[in-house]
Amino acid sequence: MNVIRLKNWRYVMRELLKNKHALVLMAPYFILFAVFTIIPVGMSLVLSFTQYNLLEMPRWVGWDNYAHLFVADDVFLIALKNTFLFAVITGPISYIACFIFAWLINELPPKIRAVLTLILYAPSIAGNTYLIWQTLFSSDSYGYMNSFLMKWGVIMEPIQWLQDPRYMLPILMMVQLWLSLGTSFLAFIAGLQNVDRTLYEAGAIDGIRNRWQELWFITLPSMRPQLMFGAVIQITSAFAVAEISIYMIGFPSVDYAAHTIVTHLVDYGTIRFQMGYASAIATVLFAIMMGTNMITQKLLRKVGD
Amino acid sequence: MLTKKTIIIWALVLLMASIYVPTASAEAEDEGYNYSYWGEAAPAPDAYRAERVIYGDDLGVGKMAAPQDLYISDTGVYVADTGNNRIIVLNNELTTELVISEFDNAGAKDAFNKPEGVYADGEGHLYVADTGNKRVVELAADGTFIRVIAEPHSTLIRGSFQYAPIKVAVDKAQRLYVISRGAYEGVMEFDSGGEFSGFVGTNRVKFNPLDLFWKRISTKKQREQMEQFIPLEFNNIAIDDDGFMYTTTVEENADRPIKKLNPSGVDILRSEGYFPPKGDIGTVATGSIPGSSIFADVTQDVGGMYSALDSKRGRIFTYDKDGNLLYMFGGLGAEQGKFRSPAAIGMMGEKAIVLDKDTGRLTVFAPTRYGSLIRDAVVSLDNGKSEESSEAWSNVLKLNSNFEVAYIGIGKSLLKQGENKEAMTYFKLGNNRTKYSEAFKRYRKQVVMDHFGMILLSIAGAVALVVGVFKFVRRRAAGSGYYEEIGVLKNPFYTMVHPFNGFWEMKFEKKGRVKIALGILLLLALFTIIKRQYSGFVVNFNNPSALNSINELKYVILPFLLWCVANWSLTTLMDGEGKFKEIVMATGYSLLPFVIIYLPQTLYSNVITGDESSFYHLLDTIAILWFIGLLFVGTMTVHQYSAGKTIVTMLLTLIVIGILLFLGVLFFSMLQQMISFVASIYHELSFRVH
Repeated sequence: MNVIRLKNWRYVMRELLKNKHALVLMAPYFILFAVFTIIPVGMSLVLSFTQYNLLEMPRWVGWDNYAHLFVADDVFLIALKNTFLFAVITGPISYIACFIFAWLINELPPKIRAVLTLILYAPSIAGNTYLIWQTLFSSDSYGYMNSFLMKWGVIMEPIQWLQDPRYMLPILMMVQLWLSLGTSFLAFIAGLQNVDRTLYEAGAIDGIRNRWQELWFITLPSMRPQLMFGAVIQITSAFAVAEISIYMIGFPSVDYAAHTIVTHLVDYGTIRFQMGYASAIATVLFAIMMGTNMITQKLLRKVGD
Repeated sequence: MLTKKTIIIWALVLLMASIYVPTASAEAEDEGYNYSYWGEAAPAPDAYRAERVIYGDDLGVGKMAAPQDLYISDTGVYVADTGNNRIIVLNNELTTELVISEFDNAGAKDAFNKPEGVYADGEGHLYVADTGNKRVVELAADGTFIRVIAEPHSTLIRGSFQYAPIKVAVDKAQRLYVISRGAYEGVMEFDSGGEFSGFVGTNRVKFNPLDLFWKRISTKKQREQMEQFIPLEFNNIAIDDDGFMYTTTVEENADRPIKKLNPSGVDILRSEGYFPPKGDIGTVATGSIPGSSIFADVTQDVGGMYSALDSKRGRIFTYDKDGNLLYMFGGLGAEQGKFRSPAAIGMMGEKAIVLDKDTGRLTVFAPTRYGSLIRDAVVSLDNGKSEESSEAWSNVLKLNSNFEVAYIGIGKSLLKQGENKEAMTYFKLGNNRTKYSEAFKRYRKQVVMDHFGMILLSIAGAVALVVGVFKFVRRRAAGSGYYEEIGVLKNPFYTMVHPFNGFWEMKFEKKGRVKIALGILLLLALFTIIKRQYSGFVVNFNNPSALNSINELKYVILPFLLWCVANWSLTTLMDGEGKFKEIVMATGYSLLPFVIIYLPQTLYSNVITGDESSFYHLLDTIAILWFIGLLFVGTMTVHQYSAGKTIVTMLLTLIVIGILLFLGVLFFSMLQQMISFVASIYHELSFRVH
């Protein structure tokens, strides 16, 4: 046992010495990455096994935080349910929508394409666009949605869109979809621009019969890096939904109907200062995101076969 | 000719008759019923039975002529004897105290003219809706005149309005509420000084958006020609001890004919029962008495209960404060305890008194043991005594095990005591899914708490197992060379994720088998039956007593066959290349997602609460979308169509299915007609021959 260890250690050292130039060149980025990403994440992992309130020293409690989270914390289960629903519905839809819009725009002449890109990308750079949606779904009879429905006699009295647990999540999903034509959309456009044109000719010779096959066998595989990037961005944004919930519906939402994992995190981290518990929530969220990312990447590898 | 056989039979019949002496001949047959969750009227014991019947002659006041209203309070029983223009006041022993037919109005003799409503406040002051004279009269308890509240004049009232007060009620602040015939704006409210102050609790106009749309686009002249949408008028009113008003509306097929108005005129009646509190449900529009119940009167009761009188079928329905139907009694007929045309109802303690305007009689109903048990249970629950209420409910169940409200009541008290598992059983019996969810959630929490370590370990173990198997399979697959031929058995699964390739191989490389497609179909039929039978209670809305596996088959196999036949007959005309066998295969293989998803979904549905059921329905949606996608690609590949043509073909196939169904139904009904024709001819001939 010891012998092998020693052997390994020697081997590692030898390798390090052999590649010292490369290591030195890598160092600046690596140090920064470690200080600002790896160490905080690791600390959060450790903290999630403790009870820590920022004033006293952390107290080790083992799995208690996790046990409490999954068993005794009803609100967390609601948040988990909402987040999953959100991710499962908005994630794929917005991903596909991004791609379709990019694909449609890609065919247009450059000038028009630039304008349309800006228009479609506008919602996600505008920042606090909740205002529009708040007027649209306002709970009084002046909200556009209510006044329209009342004018046409579909409803009799204004629906409390943003206070009624039945409507909150669907509305949030709509807003999220509308906001989500963001970074991944741009990435897809860039990816579509970069597809090698000669491949299409080659494909036509090799028996590509229609546009769908062209898309599946040539376009998508050529832009796989952009697809990966877009997927990662979409998944993280779908799971980390919190801001729009807080701004549109309020925090905490009625009946916790729009409570997500991140709003739960905000609750315990910045309001109650139960840092250990909040770290446990964050760790669970991290695990979920990692898992989803792995699955998505596995699926994306299958593109084009 | 008497044979031996008939003699013996007669002897037996006589013997039976002599043994069986009907013991309950004095007791009336139980005629009560209660609606189960499935909308079936389950027989129930009578909760109320008629105790006595009182005519005007018994009271020594002569026959009553079309009495319209009855009001009961601590101070006495008041009857508006409309036809005789008088008010009869009885004491609580139901003997006559006072008959008021005329009174002294500022020195002049004055009398009523067809008074249709009467009310008395806490001090025994009478308020009479003097309909014919268009006024409300207030009298002291001894019948001396106090004041007249005359016809209101206000800008709020339409010019064409004819004031005809029919019912009146007074609240604790001496505000007067008057219901007038033709006042569709709502209940008329008068302040304590007798000044009209406005309408409360307007009934909403109901119309559909389409009508509104036509109204929008029509000209003013056309609009005047159209029928007007006007709200419905109230026909009766009652005020409970908390100052809430119960009102009834003459409205056919409405969900809320009874309303409970709070002081600002908003309807706050709870409708938590299986069906809205609207009397009889599932009534048919034909028959001797068609249509829904029409309520003539409503009266408050103890513990938040209220009873409503259906004038159409003469039944009294009693609901608790949540809108659960507790019991019903009464009916139309001539015997005691039935009515010809019931007009009003009141509660005297726990006795109910109903006024019949046709026969001019009062019927006094007293609760049976069953009825008082239900009332005890409801009242003690209302007072927060869950133990006693639970006790009473279980006694109710001994008398009537069909009474689902009782199961819910017991479940509620069990939930309070933390007996979650037992509460679940009771809520399941009472078919209350929201409460069941609540109990299940708590129970699940308990279980997870107790076995947290075990559960964590088993999850970790399962994950490790899956990963290990995955790795192992990978290693084996990697060893078998680069390109792997997809076998016949694997092809359906391959098709599920690579539809274009899979269907292509099915058509051109002999990878499909009709047997496999039919196997998938049979599996789906099996899994559908399993799903409908065993999916969790919170998402399973099937009536377990009505489930029939053979019947379920028609929802799977019949559509499949119809689709295949319709698609084939259509595509032969639209130059599709597919053979019938290929269509069967493609459709069968497209059904695979359902087969894959249904079993885990059924398992999952047994561990969720009601608000987690959205995932269950999401799985349904995913399966359907997947199936449609596969069917689309399959149809496209089998017939070698373009995408657009495939969509058109699929829609047309649906239409053809409709035509096929129509022809099938037509054929069978024709066959039935012919069979019955032949049968009747045979009968006719057999009669002639004899």
